[in-house]
Amino acid sequence: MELILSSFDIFLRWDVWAAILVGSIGGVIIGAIPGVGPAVAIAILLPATYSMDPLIGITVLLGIYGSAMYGGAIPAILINTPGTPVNALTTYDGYSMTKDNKARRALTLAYWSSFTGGIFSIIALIFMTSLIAKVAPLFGSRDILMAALLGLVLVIISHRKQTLIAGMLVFFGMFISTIGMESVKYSMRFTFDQSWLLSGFDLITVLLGLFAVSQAFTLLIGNDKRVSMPSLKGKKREGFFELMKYKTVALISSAMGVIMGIIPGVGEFLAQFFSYNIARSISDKPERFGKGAPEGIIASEAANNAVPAAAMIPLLALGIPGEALTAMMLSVFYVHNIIPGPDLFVKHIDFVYGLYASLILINIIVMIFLLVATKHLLKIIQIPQRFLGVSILGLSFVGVYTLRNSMIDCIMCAVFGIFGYALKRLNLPIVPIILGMVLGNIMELKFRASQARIDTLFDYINRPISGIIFAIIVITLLIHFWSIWRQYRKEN
Amino acid sequence: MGKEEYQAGDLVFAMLMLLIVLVLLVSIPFETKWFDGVPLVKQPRLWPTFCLVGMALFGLLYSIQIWRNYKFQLGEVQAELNELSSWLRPLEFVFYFVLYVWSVPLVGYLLSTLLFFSLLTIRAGYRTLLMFWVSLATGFGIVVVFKSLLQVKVASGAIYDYLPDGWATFFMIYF
Repeated sequence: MELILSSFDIFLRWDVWAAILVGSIGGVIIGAIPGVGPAVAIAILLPATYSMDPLIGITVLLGIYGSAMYGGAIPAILINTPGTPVNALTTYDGYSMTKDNKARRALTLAYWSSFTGGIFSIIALIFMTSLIAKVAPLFGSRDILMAALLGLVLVIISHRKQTLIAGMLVFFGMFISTIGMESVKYSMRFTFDQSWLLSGFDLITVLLGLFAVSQAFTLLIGNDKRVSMPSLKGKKREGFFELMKYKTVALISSAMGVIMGIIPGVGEFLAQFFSYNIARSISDKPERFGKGAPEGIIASEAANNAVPAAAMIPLLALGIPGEALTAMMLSVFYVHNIIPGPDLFVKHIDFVYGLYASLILINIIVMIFLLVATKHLLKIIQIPQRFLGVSILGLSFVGVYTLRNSMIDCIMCAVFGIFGYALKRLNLPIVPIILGMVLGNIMELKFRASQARIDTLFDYINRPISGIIFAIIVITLLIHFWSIWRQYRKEN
Repeated sequence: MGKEEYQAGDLVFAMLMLLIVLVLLVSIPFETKWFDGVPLVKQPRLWPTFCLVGMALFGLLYSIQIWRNYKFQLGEVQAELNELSSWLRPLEFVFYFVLYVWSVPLVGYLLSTLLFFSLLTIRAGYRTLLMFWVSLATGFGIVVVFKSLLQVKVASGAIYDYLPDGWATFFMIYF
């Protein structure tokens, strides 16, 4: 209890408040601008947070991560364009409500649903902390190796219809992480006698290229879309009362978001997809879904906003990021020598509690901001797309150049930008590359660290935790192949 | 297991990736070291080989799938090549970006950013006075936030050496 109270001391610091405000309000604005998204913003800001206090840096990034989806609902509902990719399902019912002159109701419903999802997942996270703190120290190298492997397997198979290319990109990411001087025998790997490849590819360079620079190219080469904003009529409290009518949907969707958030590699897309389907199946009027059903907005928004806090669980407990944004945050932890994993709950428990408290405050501030400032945010949505491209390219410079003032880094970032641009044009996933890079590196380290206790391959799974995780991997793969077989038989 | 609809460029992308993997696989003996007397699991060569084999396996299956499922025909070669050329369209912006990076240590972060934002805004098709000022204000804002306030490490411009001492230090620290 004393620890929890002491962690609240951090809120006497002005810089913590500034980080919370900048992160939460900045996140909403970024989310509200179609074409930017939290991944681009976090990739750009990442190097700037390296020089900050770890809690401040993480709070800014978490603020953006946690609040971008709140903002993303605004263009999804008003102009049928999701602000962030994970607001896509909100367009189904949100835009239909806007066409029926219920824009304000749809927006406030989305805000309150997001708030419910956000707070629910933080509460879940806090309650799970004690459990994690007990279990986490039991994790050894082999267990973390298996957990990372599970993450990779889930990343690949969660890209349904794109499993093979996701697999190739995961291995591509893993390969990138091996380039440069390795740390055991200090030999060079795939440096092709180039001195600039000695230290390998920095995660930030790849991240900025694949997410930010590629997005800048997409926007610069594309055309501006003229958007007309609908008028906001109605009362702000309508959404809250509507949410109260569908409490069960909100709770189920939030729980689904938490579950999906914890599982590495799954994330918001599947969370909202499952929640939406569950909401439809338990609805009295399932035929309304896609035509302005309030439950549709609740399911989508509560689920995707429950993911960010839940996604922190594998990151904090095991040091295993479940998706690209938590992979980016992992690098902030490493820079400040705060190593996520079992030790975090022993050595830096005050930091963990401070993080939870920041998350709660972020959600409260975002909610207040949105109820007050939605009208003004409508102007931001109308920023011309190509000008956004100019701004993102200019901001990407800050991200990559500040690493070590290197022209080579900038050129590599641009090369990855072109690669990301090609992937986007082909509708191929980018996230597997990043997770391959991060998890591949963890896997190699843990693989080597566990060698002292390995005589046969069976030794990797003869520990209770690694055995259970391996069983989960096997079951997951069996279910995946069984579903493919079933689909194949259905089609033929 | 694959994309539902074939898209021009899918095949050429798969082939390019396969080609890269093949080149990398062939270069394993030259680009990684093998230490005698060290067990296989501790060899630095093991992990990149594992990654490349995995990449080749998935890449091969992906290419076969595209070839078979989408009934690729020779007539579509032109569409593939058109898509390939469209991937190179951002090269123009890469050039501007590199020029920007090159100019920062010479003319300083502030001036190069103002030039980059204003000129690229014009190139992007916004030729009104309003957008010109907006681009300058955006560039200035970014420099103030990142360099002046957050003090990120950006090389100071050689041009600042020509300013009077007090001004030179001020610009080196804040712009």
